[in-house]
Amino acid sequence: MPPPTGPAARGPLLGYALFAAAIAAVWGIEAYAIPWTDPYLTGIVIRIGMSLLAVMGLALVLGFTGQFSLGHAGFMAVGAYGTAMVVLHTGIHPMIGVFFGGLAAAFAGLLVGLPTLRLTGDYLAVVTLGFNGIILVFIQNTPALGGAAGLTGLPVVTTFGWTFTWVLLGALFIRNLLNSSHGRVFAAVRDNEIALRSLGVDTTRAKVIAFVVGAFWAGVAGGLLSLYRASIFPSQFQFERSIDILAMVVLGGTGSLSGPLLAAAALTALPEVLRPIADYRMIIYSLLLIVTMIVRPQGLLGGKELIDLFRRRPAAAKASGGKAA
Amino acid sequence: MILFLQQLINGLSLGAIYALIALGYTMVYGTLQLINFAHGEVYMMGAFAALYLAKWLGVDQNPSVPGVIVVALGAMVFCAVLGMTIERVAYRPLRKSSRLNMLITAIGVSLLLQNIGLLAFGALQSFPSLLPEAKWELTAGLVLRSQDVQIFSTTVALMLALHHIVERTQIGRAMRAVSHSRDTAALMGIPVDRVVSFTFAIGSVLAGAAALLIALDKHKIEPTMGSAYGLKAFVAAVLGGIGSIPGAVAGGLLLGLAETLVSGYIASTWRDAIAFILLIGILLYKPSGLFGKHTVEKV
Amino acid sequence: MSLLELKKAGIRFGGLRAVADLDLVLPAGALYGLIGPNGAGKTTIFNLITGIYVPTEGDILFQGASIVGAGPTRIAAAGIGRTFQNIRLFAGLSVLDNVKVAFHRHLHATLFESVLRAPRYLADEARADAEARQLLDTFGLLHMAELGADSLPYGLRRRLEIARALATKPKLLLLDEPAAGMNPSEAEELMHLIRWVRETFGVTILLIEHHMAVVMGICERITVLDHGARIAEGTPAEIRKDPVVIEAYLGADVHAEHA
Repeated sequence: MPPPTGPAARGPLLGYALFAAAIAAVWGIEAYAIPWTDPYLTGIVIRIGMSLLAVMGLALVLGFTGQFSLGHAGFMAVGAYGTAMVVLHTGIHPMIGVFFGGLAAAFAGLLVGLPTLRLTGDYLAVVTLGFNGIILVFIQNTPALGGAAGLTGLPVVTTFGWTFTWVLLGALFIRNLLNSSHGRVFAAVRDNEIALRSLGVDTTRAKVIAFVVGAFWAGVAGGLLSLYRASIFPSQFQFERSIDILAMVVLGGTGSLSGPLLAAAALTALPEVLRPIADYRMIIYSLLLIVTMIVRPQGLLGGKELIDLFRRRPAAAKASGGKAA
Repeated sequence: MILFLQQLINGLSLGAIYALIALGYTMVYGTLQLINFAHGEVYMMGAFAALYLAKWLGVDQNPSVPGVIVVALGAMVFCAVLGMTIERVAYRPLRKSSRLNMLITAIGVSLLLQNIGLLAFGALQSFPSLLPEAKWELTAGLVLRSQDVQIFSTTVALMLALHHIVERTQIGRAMRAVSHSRDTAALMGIPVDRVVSFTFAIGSVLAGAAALLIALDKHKIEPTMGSAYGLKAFVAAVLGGIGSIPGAVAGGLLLGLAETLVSGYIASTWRDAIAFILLIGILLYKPSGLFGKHTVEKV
Repeated sequence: MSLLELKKAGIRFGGLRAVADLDLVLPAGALYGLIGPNGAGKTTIFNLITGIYVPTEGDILFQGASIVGAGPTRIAAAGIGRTFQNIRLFAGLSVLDNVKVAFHRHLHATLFESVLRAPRYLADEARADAEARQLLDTFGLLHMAELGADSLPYGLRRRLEIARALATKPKLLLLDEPAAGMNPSEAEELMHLIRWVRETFGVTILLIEHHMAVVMGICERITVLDHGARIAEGTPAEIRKDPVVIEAYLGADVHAEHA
């Protein structure tokens, strides 16, 4: 029996060390660089961080597991308002509040996903759209949540340090999830769900897991958003926001994690650069989506990870050995 | 009781509109298994096309029946062309691609049209009366408007026409074959591309008619009306059984009635949520919808 | 007790009775075949057995217990594996991962243990990796472990699909047209492979085939289907001479090679 090789044998210690170093770097930047940086720029970077959190969840659900989830902003809303409620009405540390926001969103994901994910893909598309809509109606009609006028008086606690701590946590979580047995199952669900079931794997359960994890990180993004500008409004979580995130995943490339993250960074920063043509932003987005689907449906990185561009040996499942007869 | 009957009239009126739009969704889904997100925008564009055509022809100054008919035909033809163009340019190249890609393109087209609309038409625009209007008080408190009559009669006429086309013509038979199995239909010599185009055309025509009816009813149109009505009409199609023509009609009427009754008896703020609550309900109990066929995936 | 038994099993799709009144008995260790003209209902029967369709009449018993209504996942977990008419590999995964996926059911670690790379997870992974590699080795596919599954030539894809099905250690293996698209020498190899699989893995095999040489060559008994109903059942020798069978095949495309 050949000895086991590959990542499993190397052990996780190296990964943990790198992670710790990255966290240290983030807080180092927070302490020494941020105070000297133009707040406008810091703002952009923080917003990029929040986008990254929202996108990584959808990349998992849509890009890797192939589920048509179209209402991601709805989960952000649950996270945002959940965090806001916890922070406004208890004395808990705001970041714990963000964690609760994530949990609330995850729970919402469970409620939405469980009945729907056992049906074929299009139903999920419609339900998630509907969920996005219902959540907003609910918020707008609930005075305790501030209604349509929004919720104000929230503490401003979202800093570069906290944002990117969460980003690193999220990225590590999702990356490790994807590089595990679960990750293989997610990809298999996307590729051929019927075949996967014939192997005795509970595909509905796998889809729900991906969905709930995706919702959690969207909730965290929402939670951080609620503590960013002292107030939140339902209008921040409309379908347009869901499309923003969807565009980042699609343009970055389904089947990749770094692709959508790059796209998220670019598309979040871009409106700032393109401020003069802000009116045309959605038109440019939609054209980008259409053209990408027709001309380069695999997106920016074509389903590969950023690191694969630096490797000479192609990534294992994307070998271009050519289909021999 | 009177209130209930009034709600009934209003509900059926709204429901008829939903039904007309829902038919477009259901027919395209039946043929291509695609949720045509852009359909709502075609409907919206139809309303604006009707507005500009009416103004250009002067029908808004001189309301008349022939004038309205010309505007109606113009709007419907415009929608048909728009719908077919979208299919040809945005969807056909992706037919061999994954369904997710087609869905995303549809979302893209929908957004594009809506935002072009916002830029071109601004916000709300008022829509003039193109026909003399009347109200008939059936009994105290129960009002039937000429618009309601227009909506009912037009919808019934269009649905009879659709039924005739789908059940009794060759192209209708071809449509049914393609929605059963595109590959088999192709193998049998059916010109699938043309049938798909035709399907889009018919659906768009119905949407155009619905747009004019709503414009004459509410006297206002706006670039966001497509997403508002479109999504609900799609929910109606799912309620009735996506892919089923009678289902779209039933779903549309049911949704219209439900929304109006909830709005009237409970609270109007929950009106928008009703569609989604019904949707969740049907998906939990009978996902294939009221009239849905249990589609068996070929293994 | 037979391993698999169909008792008057049947299914209706609307007005169409795709399979009617079917009796089939499969003893443990057997290698049986299922043949019939196109559209006779053969794959439908596989789908009935694996729970993708639910029979509207009759019963299906696996190891003595009814599996009707159990759902594909539970039926597969109970010990029935299958391959598909159009090979269903996971195109985005490597050859090795295609097999490794089958071991997900045996994961002891929880989700969090997986993400945190806890020792229990690492042990699970090592075990799955080792078993998957061993299986690939037995099938002669180990040298291609890292390649994308969709870059394999057709014959090897078929082999990979069979290997993957065996990863779940099934008691019954359903092969749906494994010889499709093969030339005579490939079909010959396949016959050896199937016999070898039965011996090495101790599985009972039921196979659907159009390739007469393969069916006649390795099946112990054959059931013949036409229009959803059984029209004949017996040994290859009996079936070859059966007038009812010959008539059913008249006009159909048959690879009538002398086995």
